[in-house]
Formats: sequence, structure tokens, C-alpha cells
Amino acid sequence: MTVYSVIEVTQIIKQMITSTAPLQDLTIRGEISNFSKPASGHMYFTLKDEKARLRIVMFAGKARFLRFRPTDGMSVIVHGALDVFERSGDYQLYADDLQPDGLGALFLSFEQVKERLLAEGLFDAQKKKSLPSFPKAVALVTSATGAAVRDMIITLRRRYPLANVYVIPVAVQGDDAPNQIAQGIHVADKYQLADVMIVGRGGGSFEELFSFNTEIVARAIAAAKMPVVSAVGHETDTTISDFVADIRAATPTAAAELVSPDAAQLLQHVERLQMRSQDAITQRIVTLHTHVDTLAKTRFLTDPMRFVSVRQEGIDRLEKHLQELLRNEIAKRQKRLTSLELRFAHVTPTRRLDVAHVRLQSLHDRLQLALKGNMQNSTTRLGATIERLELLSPLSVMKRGYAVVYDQSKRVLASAITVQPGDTIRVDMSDGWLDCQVWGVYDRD
Amino acid sequence: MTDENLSFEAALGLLEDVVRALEAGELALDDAIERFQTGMQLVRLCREKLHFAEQKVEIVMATESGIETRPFEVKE
Repeated sequence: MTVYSVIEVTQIIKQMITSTAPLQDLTIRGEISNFSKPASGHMYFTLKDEKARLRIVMFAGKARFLRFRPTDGMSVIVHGALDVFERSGDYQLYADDLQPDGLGALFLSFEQVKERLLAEGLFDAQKKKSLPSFPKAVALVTSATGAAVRDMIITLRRRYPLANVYVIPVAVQGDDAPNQIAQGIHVADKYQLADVMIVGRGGGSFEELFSFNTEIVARAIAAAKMPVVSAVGHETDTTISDFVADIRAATPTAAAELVSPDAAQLLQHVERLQMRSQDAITQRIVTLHTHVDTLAKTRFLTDPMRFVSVRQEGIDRLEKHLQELLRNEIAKRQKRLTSLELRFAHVTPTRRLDVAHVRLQSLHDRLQLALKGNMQNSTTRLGATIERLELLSPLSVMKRGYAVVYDQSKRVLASAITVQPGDTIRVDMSDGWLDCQVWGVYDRD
Repeated sequence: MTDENLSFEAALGLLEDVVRALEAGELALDDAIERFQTGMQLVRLCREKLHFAEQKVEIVMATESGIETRPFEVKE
């Protein structure tokens, strides 16, 4: 009995499965469950129906071409090859294509992208930028070949040749178209090539217009700082680009008309402005003329002297008034001066001097009188005194025999003992004197 | 004096300003006449720009260092 290892058995099964042709080219219908898509980009899910389940793997290399996002519960048709994953012992389908069952994948994608971007607010009206009135340049992100680019250029040339045109050539259909369109929008915006851009293409099938329904193009339009006009296909075609763009034009030609003012109308506008300024200046001059005429007729100018005399009169009146004021002022001052003089007279010392003078005179008189009386009195008293004095005079005493003795210094000698013998003395008598020498001095005792 | 290098939009804007100012009638006469003359120059400039403008069409190619442009011919 042969004993196999697990790997040996697994390899036998794997060999059987991979060598069975029908199992390598399977198309299966089922419902997605347990869908997961990790950062690696590979997709894993279980395809199930009422009675069975099958594990499905879709590697990132295939998964990135899907135009819709698979979700749980979605009915799909998967194509791929069956194989065995040895490590888990599972057999699983390695899918290379996945289509929604029922609705077309493209339509489903359109709906899904639209719903997602709507939820994110990319279609919000308040995000819409307004177009410049007079673009200096217009950028066209479209195919460089084909009718669309030509129609747009010719329309712009006819309406507003002042605007330069920059064509950013991109593929507008095929697998790489979404990338190229997004990149073209990015380039036009990044380098500020213009002040408005038109993104679009001419008419085509739903599949041909599909690039303008992709998320990458929608996001590029939303990210642009420059106003974007979307112009895809015909009137009836509606793309996601139309929802995201700032303005949707029905066709490329319509877009070119939308972004450009009409030169013919502008010319008319300029003509009107010219007429208006001419009218305004003419009107101004006419008005000034009339005004000058009116002024010329005023009395100021027709009879200027009248205004001079009116002024003169005023001046005269003022002068008179002024003089009167001056006079009043002087009189007022005069009055005050007089009053001050009067008051001054009252307080002046002259009067007091007069009074003092009178008083002085009277005092003088009284003094004279008093003196006179006094003198008489005194004279009388003097006579009497003299008489009395004469009675006391040494002369009269001397007449009676007394003498006055003086020493050599003419001092009256009152004591004998102060004299020395030999001293000269003088002896005054009433009728003359004697020069004497002392012979002796004697004490009375 | 008007600058010949004014863009059409700028020239038209200035012209509209002139007309508004003249129509308001609040300018001194000298000023009004000067504005009027400026206005006439702007009219001529706008007209010339519209009449003689030649559309320039270029095709833009992205390169490693940035972008390059070259003329793009479109026959009517």
C-alpha cells in the first residue's frame, strides 16, 4: 500500500485540474459574497448560488481594468481558470474577467461613479466657477485629429480671434484615454495655459464616449482651478464629465460659443460707447454754453456799478456807525475821568495842608503870646532876683572888708594849709587886687 | 494717454469707465475733454483689436522638463 504525503496528493489533484481543458476556460454565473480587496489590489470573493460556493481570485493586473466595483450581492459572470492553492488545499477560480450580469458593465460603472461623486459633492452647484467674459486664451483638451477640434478652433476664430487657442492632444477613446484626458486637464491647469478650458470630443457610441464617464477624468475636472466646459458628443449624450464641469455644452461647437464673446457684438458695443461719450461731451458743452449765456445776462455783469454802489452804501453806513461808536466810547471815558478827578480832589492832601497851616499859625500866635507874657514875668522876676543876688554878692561882702585869695593857678584858696611859704598869691579886694608873697603858714590851732 | 498694449478687456473696461464718468456730468470741463479724448483713443484701440486680431493656435506637448508648444494649422 502506497502512503502519500499531503503535498503529493494535492499535486496530483492540481495536475488533474489544470490538465482538464474545460476547467481552464470557465464562464460561471453567480452572486458575489465575502468580497475583499486588500491594498495589494488583488480581489478575493466567493461566488455562490443557492446550492454551492466557489472561491474566486482576481489578481490586481486584471482587476484594474474593471470598469465597475464588484460588491457583495452583485450578480456577475466570471471567466477564468480553475487551479489549486496547495497551502490551504483549496481549489479556486483565477478570474481574468468579470462582468455584471444583466446590466452592462459600462452602464453599471457610470451609475456607480455618478452616485459616488454625487455623494462626495463633486457636482455641487456652489463649486461651479464662472467663465471669463473675455478669455485671453482657451485650452482645448481633446483629440488633435477629428472634427471636434477643428469646429472649436474655427468657431473661436470667427467669434473672438483675440483669444489664443492651445490644443492639448489626448486620446478620447481606448484604454489609455481616461489617463490621457486627465493628464491633459492637469497640464492645462498646472501651466495656466488659458483662462478657460474645453474638455470633450465629437459624437460616438456609449463605449466611445466612456472615457468621459470615468472617475479619473471626473476628478481631474473637479480638481482644476481653471473653469472647465464639458463638451462630449451630441446634445443627447450625457456624461459624468458634464456633471462635474463648471458648464456643460451640448456640442464642442456650442462650447466654443459659450466661452467666447462675439466680436461683432463687441464692435457694436464699442460703437455705442463711442456715441455715448460723444453725446455726453456735446451735452456737457451745450449745458455750459447755456450756463455762460445765463450768467452773461445777470445784473452783476450787465450793471456791475450797481453792486459797487450798494457796497459803497454799506461801507458809508459802517463808517458812520464806527464814528458814533468811537464818540460814545470817548464820552464814556471822559465821564469816568471826571468822576475820578472829583474823587481825587476829595482825597488830595492840599486841604489837609491848609487846615494844618491855619492850625500852625494859630499855634504860632499862641506861642508868641505865651512867650511874651512869660518874658514880662521873667523880667520882673529877674529884677527881684538881681536885687536879692546883690545882697549875696561877694563884691558887697568885700566892700565890707573881705577879700578873695587866689593861688598861682588862679584858683580860689579856701584853706591855708595848701599854701607853702614863699608861694605867691593874689588877693582880690572890692576895688582892686594885691600881689602877695606868703611869709608863713599857720594852722588855726 | 492710452497704452497700446492694453488687453481688449482692459481697454473696454477703461472705455466704459470713461463713458460713465462723462455721463455722470460731474467732471470739470477740461477734465471731461481730456477723458473724452482718452475715450476716443480707447474706441480706436478696441476697434483695431477686434478688426486685426489674428487667432494664434498652438499645440501643447508635455515633455520631461515641462511643456513645448508649436503652431497648429487648421484650414477652414
